[in-house]
Amino acid sequence: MHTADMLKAFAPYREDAIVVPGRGGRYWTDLTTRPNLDVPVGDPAMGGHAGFALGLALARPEKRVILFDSEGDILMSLGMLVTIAEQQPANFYHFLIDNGCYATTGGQPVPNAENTNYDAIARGAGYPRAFAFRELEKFSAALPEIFGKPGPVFVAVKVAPEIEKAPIGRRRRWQTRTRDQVIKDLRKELGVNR
Amino acid sequence: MKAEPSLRLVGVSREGHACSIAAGLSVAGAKPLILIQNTGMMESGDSLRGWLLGLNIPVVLMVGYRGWTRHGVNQDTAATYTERFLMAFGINYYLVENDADAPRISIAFEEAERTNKPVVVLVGDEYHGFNR
Repeated sequence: MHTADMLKAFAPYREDAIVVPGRGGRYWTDLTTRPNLDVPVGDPAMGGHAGFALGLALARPEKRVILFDSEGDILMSLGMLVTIAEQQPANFYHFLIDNGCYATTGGQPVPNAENTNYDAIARGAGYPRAFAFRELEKFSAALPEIFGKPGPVFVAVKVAPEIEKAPIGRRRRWQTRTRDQVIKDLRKELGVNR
Repeated sequence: MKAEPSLRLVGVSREGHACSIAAGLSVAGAKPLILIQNTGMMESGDSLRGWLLGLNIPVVLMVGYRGWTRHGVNQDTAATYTERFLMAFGINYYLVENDADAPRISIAFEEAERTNKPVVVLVGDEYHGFNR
């Protein structure tokens, strides 16, 4: 499964949710129909996407928050799963894009990449629902069930690695807005005055 | 804190998590406050950089100043590096040692809002709660 295909399958279920695209951002930018509800903040500090998305979800319980996390981020912050499980945000949908490697730094393998069951870790941390998929068809078929019940839910998706080997300065610049603009647009959409 | 209806307590297992959670809360319109110890603040360096300074998050961090002493020789490296750490990150801070210093906490909140930056309150009496 490729990340872009996984995000294409998800797109019809987005509705008016806040989407934190994480490391799927470079594909999501071509698929989104509500860019002002997207929060592509890049990579402020590895391991923090889940906490950031949790903060959004707790601040806006009436709004679904959908996060596309990575296994590298999750491994840096396993304890965050326990915090999310304790908070039980019903509006929080936690997807994991698992490519088994550190794609932006040359494709170094993630430790024990082929033998780690992230859905089991999430379940053990206290997530009431957790899924794992390797095939696009099964993932696509399960989306109504995933979004048919409240969160928090964890969805681990194994994808093919797409390693970026070009120097950072020569990579495609898919982000069209600065972080400040992303936050400004989201706040405007949410009616937050700052 | 759990019993106070105006607060929502979000427990974390690592202090850097508090930074990213606070960033999300602030971006979506809530008002976070971070309560940690200086050891955890130093562990949080990259999260402070990326999530709080990088996203211009106005938040106060109340930081227990482990090892702080005004009356003797410091014997705790947690205290040795605390203010050096904050200076390296360019984060402003206020020391609170007793009840008379409490107005500094309000100053920290006002400064965070005005500058859109994290501001630290170092609590120089973390075990006694000002009740010596």
